[in-house]
Amino acid sequence: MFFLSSVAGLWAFLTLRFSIPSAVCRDRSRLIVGRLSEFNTEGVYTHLRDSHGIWLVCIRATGQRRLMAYRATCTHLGCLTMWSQADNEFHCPCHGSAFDLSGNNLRGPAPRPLDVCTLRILDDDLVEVNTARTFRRGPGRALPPDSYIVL
Amino acid sequence: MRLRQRIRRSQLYRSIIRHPAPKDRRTRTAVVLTNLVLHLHPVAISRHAVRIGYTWCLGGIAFFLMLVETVTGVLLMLYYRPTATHAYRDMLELRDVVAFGMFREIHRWGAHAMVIIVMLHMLRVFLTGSYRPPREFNWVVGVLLLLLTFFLAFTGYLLPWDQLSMWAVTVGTNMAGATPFLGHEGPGSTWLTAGGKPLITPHSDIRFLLLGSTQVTETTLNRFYVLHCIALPLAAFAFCALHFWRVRKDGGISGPL
Ligand code: HEM
Ligand code: FES
Repeated sequence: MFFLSSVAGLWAFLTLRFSIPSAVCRDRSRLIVGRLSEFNTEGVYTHLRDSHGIWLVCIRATGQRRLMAYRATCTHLGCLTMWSQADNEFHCPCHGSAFDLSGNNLRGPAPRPLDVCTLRILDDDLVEVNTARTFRRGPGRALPPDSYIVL
Repeated sequence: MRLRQRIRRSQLYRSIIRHPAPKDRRTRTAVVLTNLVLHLHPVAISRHAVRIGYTWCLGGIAFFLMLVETVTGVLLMLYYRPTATHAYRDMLELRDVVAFGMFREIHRWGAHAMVIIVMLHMLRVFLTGSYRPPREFNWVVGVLLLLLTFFLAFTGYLLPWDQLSMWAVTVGTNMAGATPFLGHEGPGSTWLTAGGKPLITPHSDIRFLLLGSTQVTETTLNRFYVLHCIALPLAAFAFCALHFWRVRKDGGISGPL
C-alpha cells in the first residue's frame, strides 16, 4: 500500500511538473513607438493595438498635457478593448465594459481602470514603452511618474 | 431456412457466438449473459426501471451522445491540424469543402446537446432523490462526469481557432487565474512562498498550466487538442464504465418516490 501510493504520488508529481513549460517565448517588451512630436494632438493613437495590445493616449490631466500608454487588455477578464470614436470610449466586446479616455471604468463588470505601461524618453525625443512593466490603477493609488510624459 | 441452420452450425459462427437462439426464458438469459454488449444491461430489471417518465433515459441519451461525439470526432481528426497556420482553415474546409461536412455540424450540435442533457440527467437524479444512500458514491462519480463534460466542451471550443474561441478561452482561463491558492489573482495566492519568493506567479499558476503560456498561444491550441481528443475522452469512458457498474451494484435504477 505504501509502495503503491508512493509510486502514484511520484507519477502525479512528474506528470504535473512535465506539463508546466520551463520557458516561454515572449515578444520584446520594450518598444520605441515614435518621436514625442508625433503625439501632440489630444486623443487616442490606435495603431499599436493589434500588434502590441496598447493604446497611446494624449490627454489633459491636472492642467498638463500627458502622453500615456494603456494596456488595451480589459481589466475584467482580459479581452482586447476597442476604441469607439463616436462615443469617445473604449469598449470591451466580451461583456460590455466601457472605459473613458482617461481609462476609468465607466460601465460593465470591469473592476478597475485600464492598466498603464511605463514609458520614457530616449535620445532624439524617441518614446520607449515598456509593455511588461505595468501599473494597476485603483482608489488611493497615485500614478507613478514613469507612467506618463508631460508634453 | 436451411442456409440459416448451416451458418448457425458452422465452426466460424460457433467460435464467435456461443449462446443458443433466444427462444425461451432460459436461452434469452443465456444470450444476455454471454454477449458483451447486452450484458451491460441486467438480465432482469424491475418494471418501474423502464418507465420512461422516471429516468427520461437522460443518462442513456448522454452516453449515446458521447458515442456520437467519439465517432464524428475521429472523422474530424482526419482533416484538422492543431496549428496556428492550419486550424482555422481546416475548420472552414471541413465545413465547406469536405464531402459530408455535416459531420462537423453533428459534432458541434452534439457537444451542445450533451452538455444540456447531462445537466438534465443530473436534475432528474436530484429530483428523484437518487443521490441518497446507497447511491452517494455514484453521485460523486456523476459530478466528475459533469466536470469532464464541461472540460471536453471547453477544450473543443478553442479548436476552431477563430475570434470567438480565442476570447472565450482567454476569459475562461483568466477565471482559472482567480482560483483560491492556485491562481495568481486568487485569494491566498500570496501565502504560498518558498524562501521568501512567491510560488504562485503568472508564470507558475494553474492558468499557466492550462495555457502552457501566459496567453492563449499555439501551445495552448496543441494542449487543448491533446486533452480534447485523448486525455479527456479516455477519462470520461473510464468513469462511465464505473458509473454504469455502480448503477448495477447499487441495486439498479432507484425506485419511485
Ligand atoms: C457523461 C455524463 C453521464 C452519463 C453518460 C451518465 C449515464 C447514466 C446512465 C446511463 C444511468 C442509468 C439511468 C438513466 O439513464 O438515467 C445513470 C444513472 C445515474 N447517474 Fe448518471 N450519467 C452522467 C452524468 C451524471 C451526473 C452529472 C450525475 C450527478 C451528479 C449522475 C448521477 C447518476 C446517479 C446517482 C444515477 C443512479 C440513478 C438511479 O438509480 O435512479 N450521472 N447515469
Ligand atoms: S473581459 Fe472585458 S468585459 Fe469581460
